[in-house]
Amino acid sequence: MALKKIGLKLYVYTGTEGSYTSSDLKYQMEKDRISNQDNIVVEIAQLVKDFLDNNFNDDYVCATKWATAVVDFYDSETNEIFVTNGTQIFNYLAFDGYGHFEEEVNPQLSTDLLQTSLNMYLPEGIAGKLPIFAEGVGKVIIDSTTTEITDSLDSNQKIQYISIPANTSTVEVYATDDTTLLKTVTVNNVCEPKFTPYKLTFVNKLGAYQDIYFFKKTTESFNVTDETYKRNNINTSTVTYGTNDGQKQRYNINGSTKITLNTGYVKENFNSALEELFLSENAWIRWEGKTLPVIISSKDMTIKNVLNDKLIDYTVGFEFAFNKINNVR
Amino acid sequence: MSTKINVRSPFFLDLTAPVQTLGIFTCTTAGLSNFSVASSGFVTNPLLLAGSIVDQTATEFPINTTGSSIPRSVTYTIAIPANYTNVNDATIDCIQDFDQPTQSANEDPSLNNNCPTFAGTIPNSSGLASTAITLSTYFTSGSGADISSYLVTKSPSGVAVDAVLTGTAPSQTLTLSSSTDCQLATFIVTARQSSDSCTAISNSFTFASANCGAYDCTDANVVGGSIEQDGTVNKGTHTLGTLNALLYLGTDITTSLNAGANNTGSPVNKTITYRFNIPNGFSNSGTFNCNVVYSQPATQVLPTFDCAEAQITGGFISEQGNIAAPTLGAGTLVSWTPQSFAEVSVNTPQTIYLTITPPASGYINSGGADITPPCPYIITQPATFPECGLGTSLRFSKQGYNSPYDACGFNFVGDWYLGQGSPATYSEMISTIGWSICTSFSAFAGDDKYYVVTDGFTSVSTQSNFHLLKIDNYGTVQEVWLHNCSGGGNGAGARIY
Repeated sequence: MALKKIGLKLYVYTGTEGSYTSSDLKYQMEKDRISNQDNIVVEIAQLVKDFLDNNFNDDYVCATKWATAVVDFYDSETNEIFVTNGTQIFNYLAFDGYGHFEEEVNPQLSTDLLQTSLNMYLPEGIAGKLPIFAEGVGKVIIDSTTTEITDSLDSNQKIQYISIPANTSTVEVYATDDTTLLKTVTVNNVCEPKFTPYKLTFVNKLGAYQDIYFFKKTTESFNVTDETYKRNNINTSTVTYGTNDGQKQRYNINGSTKITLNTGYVKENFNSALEELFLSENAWIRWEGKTLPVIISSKDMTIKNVLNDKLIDYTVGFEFAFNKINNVR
Repeated sequence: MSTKINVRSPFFLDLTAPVQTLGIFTCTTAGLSNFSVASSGFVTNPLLLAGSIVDQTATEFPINTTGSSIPRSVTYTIAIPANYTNVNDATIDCIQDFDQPTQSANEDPSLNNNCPTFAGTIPNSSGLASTAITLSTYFTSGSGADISSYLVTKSPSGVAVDAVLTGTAPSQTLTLSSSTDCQLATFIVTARQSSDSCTAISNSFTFASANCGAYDCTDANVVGGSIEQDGTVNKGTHTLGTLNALLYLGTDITTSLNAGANNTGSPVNKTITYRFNIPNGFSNSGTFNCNVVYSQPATQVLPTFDCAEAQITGGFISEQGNIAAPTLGAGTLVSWTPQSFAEVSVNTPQTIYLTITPPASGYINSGGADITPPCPYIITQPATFPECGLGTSLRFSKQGYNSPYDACGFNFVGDWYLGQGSPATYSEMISTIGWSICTSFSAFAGDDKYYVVTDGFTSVSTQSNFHLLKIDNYGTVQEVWLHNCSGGGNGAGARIY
């Protein structure tokens, strides 16, 4: 009764757990057991990642999907699927998150609040969003207003973005028993009379959209790339050329815009949010009424603390993730 | 709570062979055999195909001199091995019956002056590292023949108490010793004389080494057990002591094994009292009660009828490939595919797919559809045997065993049988199944027993890592086991093919 090999079908889909159909089959594979081992190990995160899409447009739509591995276990004696429990189904909920090295294999991470920082900074008079995991949260109390959390079981409701009214002070996150207080998030409402705050949204460590406002000075720069070639501008019939007709021609011109943003003063425990921003694959800025994708151009971040730096602020560089001239074909 | 995959970090599936259930463990599954009660009252415990004896209601009976046989019955409590559906029930009780024959004239010392006699009582001993028993104090040779040998029976056989006979029969001394604290064993001595089969047996006596302290529930170590909705009590296993009685609310339910049905609509906790006889060697004596609380469910939990529950056995494929259907322990065999196989030149395991209907009641899926997918069942199709007797010569035991664990106990030395296999070397023979074992030019009828196979050694009882082959009546090797007797007792081992 030894394991010979496994056959694995991997389904990635939306909807409720186990509601996959044949059209959701993304990968099918077989793997033999290595002769000196008892088990077979398959890494599936990389496979599932291909099918998680982050299409953020200031709409905070949950992007999680179900991943179901249907595994057939083959008996080495018979070359057939084992009689008992020969086919097993493993259901998982896929997030675009990651674990740290210290969190070891198959990290599960937070099952309630889906951001690591317990501080939020919002401009005065502006509402915000707070991501929570519907399976692990029973209710949230925003100041004194209770909002019950309902898990619809659909993948598009697993991450819920709680609306935080303007000028809120605290958000308390409770477990599904509605009595155990899990986390308290402090909302800092910042008055910024001089600069225009910019909202930057990124996919955080836990796979949820998280907002960071940059309250202070913004600088915008612009760089251009181009090429030139030499033209033959002679008129062969008259054997002349116009002096207003250049011998060099510029082409393939495009430009990209860079911006540098400043957070303003933040508390030390907000560092994790900045760190996750630096490690994010996807980020967007709310810019002139549109949600535009950006790439973080800053590569180094010095972690600041109150002891060393007294007041903590961060300057982060971004590049818009598109060319200035529309050449999308 | 759903298991999360955070896709930017690896997520590993660690896949191992699924545990195979073996169906419901019953007394039939346990396969008790060879139980007997001699006229002297000596009880020969049954051999088991599966499971192990936890307790028994009698270890010996009085000598039968009535002139007619006496029906004797012993209830064995047997621990349910892992992977059986009802493993959580922990134990089952199996009753063994035997008619104890009356003492024959040949066994009667008053009629046969060759017969030895036993008188007195060999006392229990405890708290000692060793004790010596002069057997001639208790056994007396018949006037016609001296006692030629003594046989010492120890129970349980694996306990760390040594029993050594010194001197020459009939004046031998039995020395019991142990260097390990609190080792308990029960002994019976049988005196034999060589002229005929007349024997005499001693009383059952115990030896306990030092430092046992007071017996308590930790020593008893009750593990498992359950109460079903209808009140059926499944006893847990225990380690030390014999069960004196099983009580519920002060009432003895040892025989009924029922604590009353639960019709309350919700689970209830019930306390079952295990009353143990305190073994010799402990500082306390008499009986000791151990209470175990079980949660009795409100509804009867029915198992799912699957291929394991069907308990498929038997069947046959002829050399021509025709199939004789296997039999089922439960359920109904509807059909099977394929209907036949082509002839094969070497013994070939063939898979037959059985369509089975669940029993009408007793299971969750009773009255439902046939088991899907059909149950695979492997039968080895014998080769047409043109090669029988032409292969490598092997030495293997003349004695076949019902269980590989019996091999250590028999300790036959130099009792070998010359067998011949189908074209295979010794190393091939012990590394795969399906080979043929022949004697002369015919298949060896192995009776589905286990045979020691060797390439050189001649002693089993201390042998480490030797092989046993299970051989069916068609000479086909069905299983290969690797076993080891060097640790004493029944040894340790496992099936490797």
